[in-house]
Amino acid sequence: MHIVVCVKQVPDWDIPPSSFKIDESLKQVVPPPGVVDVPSQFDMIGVEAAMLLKDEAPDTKVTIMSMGPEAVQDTIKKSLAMGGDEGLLLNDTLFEDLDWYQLALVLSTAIKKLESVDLVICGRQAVDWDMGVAGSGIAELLGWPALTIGKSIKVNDGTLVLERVLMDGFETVEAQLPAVATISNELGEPRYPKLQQIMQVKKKQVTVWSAADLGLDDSQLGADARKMTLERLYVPVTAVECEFMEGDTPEEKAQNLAKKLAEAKLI
Amino acid sequence: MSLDFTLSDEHKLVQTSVGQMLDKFESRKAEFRQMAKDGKGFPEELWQEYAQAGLTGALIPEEYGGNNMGLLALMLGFETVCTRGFSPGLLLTICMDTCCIVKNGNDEQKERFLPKIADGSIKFCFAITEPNAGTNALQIETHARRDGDNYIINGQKTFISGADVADYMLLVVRTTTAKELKERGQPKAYGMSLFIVDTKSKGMEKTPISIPLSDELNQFQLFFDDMEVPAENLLGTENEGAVAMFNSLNPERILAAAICTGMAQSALTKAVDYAKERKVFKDTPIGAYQSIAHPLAEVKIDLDAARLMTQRAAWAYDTGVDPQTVGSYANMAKFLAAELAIKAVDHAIETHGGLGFAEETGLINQWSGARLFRTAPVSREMILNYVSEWNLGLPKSY
Repeated sequence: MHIVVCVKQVPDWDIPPSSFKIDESLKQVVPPPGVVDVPSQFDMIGVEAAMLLKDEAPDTKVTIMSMGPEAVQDTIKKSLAMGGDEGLLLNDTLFEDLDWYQLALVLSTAIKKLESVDLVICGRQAVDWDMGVAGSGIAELLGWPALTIGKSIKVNDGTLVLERVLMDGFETVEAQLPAVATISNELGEPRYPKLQQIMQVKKKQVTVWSAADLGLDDSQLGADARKMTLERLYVPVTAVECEFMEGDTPEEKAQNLAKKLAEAKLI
Repeated sequence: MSLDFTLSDEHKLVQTSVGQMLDKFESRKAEFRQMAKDGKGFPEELWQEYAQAGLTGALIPEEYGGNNMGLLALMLGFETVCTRGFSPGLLLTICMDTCCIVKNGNDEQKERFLPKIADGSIKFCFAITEPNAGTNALQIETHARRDGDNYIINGQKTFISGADVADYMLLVVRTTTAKELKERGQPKAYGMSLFIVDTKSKGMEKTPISIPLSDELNQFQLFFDDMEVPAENLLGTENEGAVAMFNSLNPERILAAAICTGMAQSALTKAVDYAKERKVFKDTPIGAYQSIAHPLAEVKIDLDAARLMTQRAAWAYDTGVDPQTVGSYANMAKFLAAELAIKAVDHAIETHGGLGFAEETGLINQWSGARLFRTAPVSREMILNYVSEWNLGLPKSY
């Protein structure tokens, strides 16, 4: 079995959101100075899911794929140290500032070029924009089934079995491979690389493909080809009012509260 | 053009991986500390995780089950452990013993001990200090006499860390006494030998030494009364153990420095976090006051210096720089880092005010831990002597 895991590098998600600024004129997020980039949390859980499948079937090949600048190698290397076999970096100036459709186009084209891929795993969403579209977008463009937000994953005789997280529980869904799965944090903590595995990373190959390698150009990846328009980027303002109920006794306070809620038509 | 202050991707991965490894023990840190403080039990689960992560195998070649990632990687691991407020415990001595076995052991000894050290199934302690020979190690009196296939050992050792949990100890003895050396006109460094000794050997008695403030390993006084050790456990050549032993002290000092920079980082982080939140006068955080901020800034400057010195020493060891130069780097790094750790914890206590003495901040525990490293494993005075003699060419005073 050949699994491709899509991983993304994002600004350190441990940093409080309040320290990020928005440049509304440029419609861009401005991270605080000195912030480092780290692997997106859910993507590392995606790598863990692939490793669990590899634990069951050791001849499984796991390719770690990421798109971005050379610095993204850090996340690829960490994933390789967790047990991935090969790395693939999609690196080109044309890959900057893509919308979700173009992103899915690049990733799905690379997966097609890899050939004989049985399963693509993504994190349920990247922790920077929280859009959660990569997995479904890739599946749509490949024409494969997408099983999303999994808390456990198995492959039985060419059938992908995923337990999906729901608001009120979970459901088990199946699909024939090839397929795309997105993985949620309920799967469990990702394993950490051991020193032995870190030493082996140097021996693992990371291939770099450009837009030309994928047969893509400005006509598909340029601003005119975007399918999504960002109208406005801003921090929503939420107003909070706090009012203490008057009353001489707890009962009276409760009655006043009930009256107030009724007036506001909340009860 | 070879000077590069950037850690490799692999070394950065060691830092994040060790941090990730410690995550699952975060809620049990106080439990481990108390366990060590009470002298009861040993955090075996944490130890096994250190081994699984590869810390015990970092200095062991791959053919003997290690990962051979080197002292710089191990040093970064140690620093991360201490930055997170955990103790490396027996790792310090076991890594030093490992260096000694790797460099001086024969093939049979390497095959017998190294794979088990790497996988965490055996632990080692180190025994050199004696009541009459602390700083002056050449003055030790514990003696080993050859008797057929065995050596018979008599004498005593003191301040031996972790002798209760270690399966083996690397024991430094004399196989030629000081009197014999004098009679034969041989140099003082001659006549030392190293043995790998089973800590359950008949003829060995262990007496605990009470160290009230310590939350580290238990300390012991050891008495050897006709203790038999198989001759096959002699490490290296009889009477020529001094150089082997002294060369193994370099990694110990480098790792001690890494413990200190980790402790300093831990204390600095606590102090800075508190200084940003704590308000005493009106709405101004105390970190805005220069009397609080400047000492912490000084700690940061010293920390960067000590960290670079420690990394240089580890790099020199890994790249095979001559032991004397490594010794200079290691000693200087240990000196700077130990003084820094004390300063960092002291300023962190001052920043916290009364809270600095409360159990919940852990700073008083850190202070005793930091203070220990001014004295051990080598005192600041002996490091100054070393630098005076070897780096400045000044006459020896002792």
